[in-house]
Amino acid sequence: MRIRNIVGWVLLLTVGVMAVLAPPAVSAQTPKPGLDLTLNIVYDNFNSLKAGEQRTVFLEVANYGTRELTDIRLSSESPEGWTVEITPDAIEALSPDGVQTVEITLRPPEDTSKGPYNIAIIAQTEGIRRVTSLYLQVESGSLFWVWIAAGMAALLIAGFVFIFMRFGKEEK
Amino acid sequence: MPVSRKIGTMIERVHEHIISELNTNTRTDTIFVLTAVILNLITLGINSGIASGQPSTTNTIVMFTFVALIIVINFVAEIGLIRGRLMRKKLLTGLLKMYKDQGVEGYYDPSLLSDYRTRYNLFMLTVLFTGLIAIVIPFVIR
Repeated sequence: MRIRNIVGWVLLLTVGVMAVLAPPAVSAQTPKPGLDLTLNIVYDNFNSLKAGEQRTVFLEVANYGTRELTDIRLSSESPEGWTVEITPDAIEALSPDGVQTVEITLRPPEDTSKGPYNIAIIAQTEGIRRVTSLYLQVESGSLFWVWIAAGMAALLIAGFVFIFMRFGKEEK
Repeated sequence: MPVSRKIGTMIERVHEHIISELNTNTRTDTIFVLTAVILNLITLGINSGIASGQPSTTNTIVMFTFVALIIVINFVAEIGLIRGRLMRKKLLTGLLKMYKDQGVEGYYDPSLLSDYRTRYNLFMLTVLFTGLIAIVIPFVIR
């Protein structure tokens, strides 16, 4: 009876240890052997643009796998109002070690606030999905705030002159 | 106490009073200038920090509130400095008259009065220009 209890505890312990140490079941999609799709944004020295201004950057789509990739579809996810055109937006076939350069034309809306923005460029083929991020700094395109500042500066100067004329008179 | 000695003591008292008023006047004017310049510079820092961040309605309201503060402080400082200058002129004119009555006016150069006027105008220009920078720079950064 006692031996049976001990065996029971040992079995339970073994199952517990295995449950903790065993690797979890792989649920994520494993890449198919021989397939390797790489995306590389080619930046020039300036990754900033003004609101409303059009900008072109280049994307290198490379196949470093051992099998040919076919029907690579390119798409983007960008902030609201942005225009992102990818030319071409599909690559029929890319042989191993082949690289194809794609042109991406971007245009933020005229009223885009100044600041950093990220545009996701997505490539999909044969169950592979690759995403790369395009970082852009948008500069304010309008001189609106400069004019506001100039107006307030003019107000300050006018006030100073008025006060100087009004209160600065010396009594004779 | 003879009348001449009594007058002499009174003149001494008036002289001390004028000197004391001049000292107070100097202190007050220094406070006006320093307060205005320091507040302008602090506001320049705060508004520049806000302007370099992400634009939002709250940020804009805060910036404009600080700009309103700058404008008010600068106007108050200017009025204070003008009043200070006029007061100093009156005190120094009285002092000069007193020296003249005592026959010692030769020791005090009347051109000092115009020097003080120039100095006060320069103080006002300093306040004005730091104020202008504090207003303009953050909006240019934005």
